[in-house]
Amino acid sequence: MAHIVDGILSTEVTMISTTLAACGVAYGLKKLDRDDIPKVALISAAFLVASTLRIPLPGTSAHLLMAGLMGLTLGWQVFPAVLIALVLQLAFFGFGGLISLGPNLLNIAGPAMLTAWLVQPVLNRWQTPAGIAASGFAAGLLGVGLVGSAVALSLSLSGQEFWPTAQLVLASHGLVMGVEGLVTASALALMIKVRPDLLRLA
Amino acid sequence: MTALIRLFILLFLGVLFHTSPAEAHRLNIFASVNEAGLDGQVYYAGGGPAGELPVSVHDLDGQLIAEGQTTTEGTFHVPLAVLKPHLGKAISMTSNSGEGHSATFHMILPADATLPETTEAKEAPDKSGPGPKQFMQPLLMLLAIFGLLYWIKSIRRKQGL
Repeated sequence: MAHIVDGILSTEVTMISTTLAACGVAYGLKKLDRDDIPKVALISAAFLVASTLRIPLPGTSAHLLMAGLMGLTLGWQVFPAVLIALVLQLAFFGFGGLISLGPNLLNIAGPAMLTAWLVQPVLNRWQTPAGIAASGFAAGLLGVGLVGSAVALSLSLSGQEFWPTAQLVLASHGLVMGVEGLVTASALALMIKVRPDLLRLA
Repeated sequence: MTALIRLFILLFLGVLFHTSPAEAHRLNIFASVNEAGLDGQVYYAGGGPAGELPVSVHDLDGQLIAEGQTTTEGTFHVPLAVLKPHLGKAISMTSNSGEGHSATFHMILPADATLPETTEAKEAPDKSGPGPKQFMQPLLMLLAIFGLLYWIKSIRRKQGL
């Protein structure tokens, strides 16, 4: 879903998205502390694997995105983490495209940041098992929804209609939204129990 | 104020994925190119498949490349061999429901698509993705990149930057 290939997006959309993504990467690298690198590498590797493995569905296939979990754990560092994973996916599996790397990065890292911004206050306030489960599920759900919206927005700005495209993109990932919600909730619950320092809790 | 902005965004998302019944008969086309050719889908705005509708593919000059009918699921397929002379160029797909609703989808065909050696029907592309063994190399490369980043950050920290 999130890997738009070359030649689909307009030049304007590609250039603006690439500029914004480059700014995000630059800022993310600036905020990246040496001691955070193992955590960023781990999340980047998890994203690379999760978003490459396809879940077969009747007539189609889908994959996890982990946008919500990445946003909650990495903050601005999500930009370099996703960039490296996308470059490796392109080089080894042919996912996405070199020209559309910027838009693809922005379409994943941007929603990850937005999801974290929306869910982080809830997580900070309710660190009970129910609160963590609800925050994690919401983060997983919103992450996929917002990435789908960002992809649809990119396509619509390049000449395709937004609403049908968004619905088509999300229709194929409706089931994944639920699975992603459960995965994110489980991961958050485990992290808070084992390594709460991995999360940026207030 | 921040809570209000968050609430606004959540409401916006709610509205975003709400389908209006008034748009139920609007026709839409979506298509993508893979190694087997062009796969397209014609559907109504409500999301229902637009089955057994005429669909045609033209180049920028209006020359017909292919035409046919969508399946009952609203899908259509153009083999890559038919698209070969048009790779790297813009094409358009048009479908008409005959009820005053038509849709056109424009796209630029990728120039570097891998062509099949023969025009015979190819096996459907594998949708299962790469296996676990194929992750070894990219993960090692990822480790190397982050190791390099760690080394650079260590040097900068020593230099007090």
